[in-house]
Amino acid sequence: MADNHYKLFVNEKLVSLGPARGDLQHWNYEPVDLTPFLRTGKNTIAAQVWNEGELRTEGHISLKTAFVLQGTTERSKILNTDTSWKCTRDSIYFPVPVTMQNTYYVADPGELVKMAAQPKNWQSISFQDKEWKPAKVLSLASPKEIVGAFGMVDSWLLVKSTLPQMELTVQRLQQLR
Amino acid sequence: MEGKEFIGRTDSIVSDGCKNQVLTTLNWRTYPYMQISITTKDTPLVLDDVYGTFTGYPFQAKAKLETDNAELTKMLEIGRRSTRSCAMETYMDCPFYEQLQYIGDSRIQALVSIYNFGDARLVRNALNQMNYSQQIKGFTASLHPSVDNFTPKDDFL
Repeated sequence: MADNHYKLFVNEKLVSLGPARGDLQHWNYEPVDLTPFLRTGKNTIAAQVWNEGELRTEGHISLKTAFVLQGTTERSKILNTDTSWKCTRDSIYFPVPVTMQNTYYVADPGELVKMAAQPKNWQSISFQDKEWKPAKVLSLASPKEIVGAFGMVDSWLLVKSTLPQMELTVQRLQQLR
Repeated sequence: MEGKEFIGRTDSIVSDGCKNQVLTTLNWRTYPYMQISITTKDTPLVLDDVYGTFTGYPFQAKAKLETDNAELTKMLEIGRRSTRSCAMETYMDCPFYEQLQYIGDSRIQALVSIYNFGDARLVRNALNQMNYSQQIKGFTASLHPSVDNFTPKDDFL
């Protein structure tokens, strides 16, 4: 799961988009089977996480920016998001407010993207992440059924999404003028 | 386009001069039309491709209407298309302006989804989410999830 959004890549291939919209008491995490995308030897699991802050869409609640990936078996725990993950702040994106007169527009902002600042091929196996810093653990993720000491909760209450992944189909432009 | 004005969301890409740059927006966009303007400086820009990726709830059409009335057949297609454009991980009133799940809109979208696609998962999700929106006064919100809690106004009750 992420707050606010994530794209998860395995060996450069997009394998999961999320999270499905929910609220803080019902924050969806997406189950994803990575097996078909893994290969013998070295693999790269990478995630792009973003939060458009005050400009984000009205329907997407946010607490703070974060990302959680958790393996469900002993062996896949190696993927758990802890300080073993390397991360960097991507400085290529700038949200652009949408201004239209006499219109109730509350969807996401536009994007200004400066390609020069993008780390090249950051999802690929050959990428060198030496410059990237260890991720910071903000708090432990809490499944909805489990509360902390004295019944307290300090972040999102996580529930497993009941929805399938969204369809992604190439759509060509029909006509050029 | 002559005599037309484009309004709405603007995305801008500043190229870094390298070959084979690829970029996908972070969030999906909704558009019937797209206007592209390019400004170059000392070197030309090679634009290899521009395409969309339809992103939406994976509904699959199962229902069929057999009729001699061509207009009626078309209407069913239009209804399906509207429903698909307004269905992601929630139903939405409009994928361009608001992207919000109102219970009133969702009721109609639920009927269309069940009749056409035989898939009630998004319906169940919408009903649960409306239930979660209940606030201290006892009302469920008119739409959910949202950053603000929209209590239904008196005239809706």
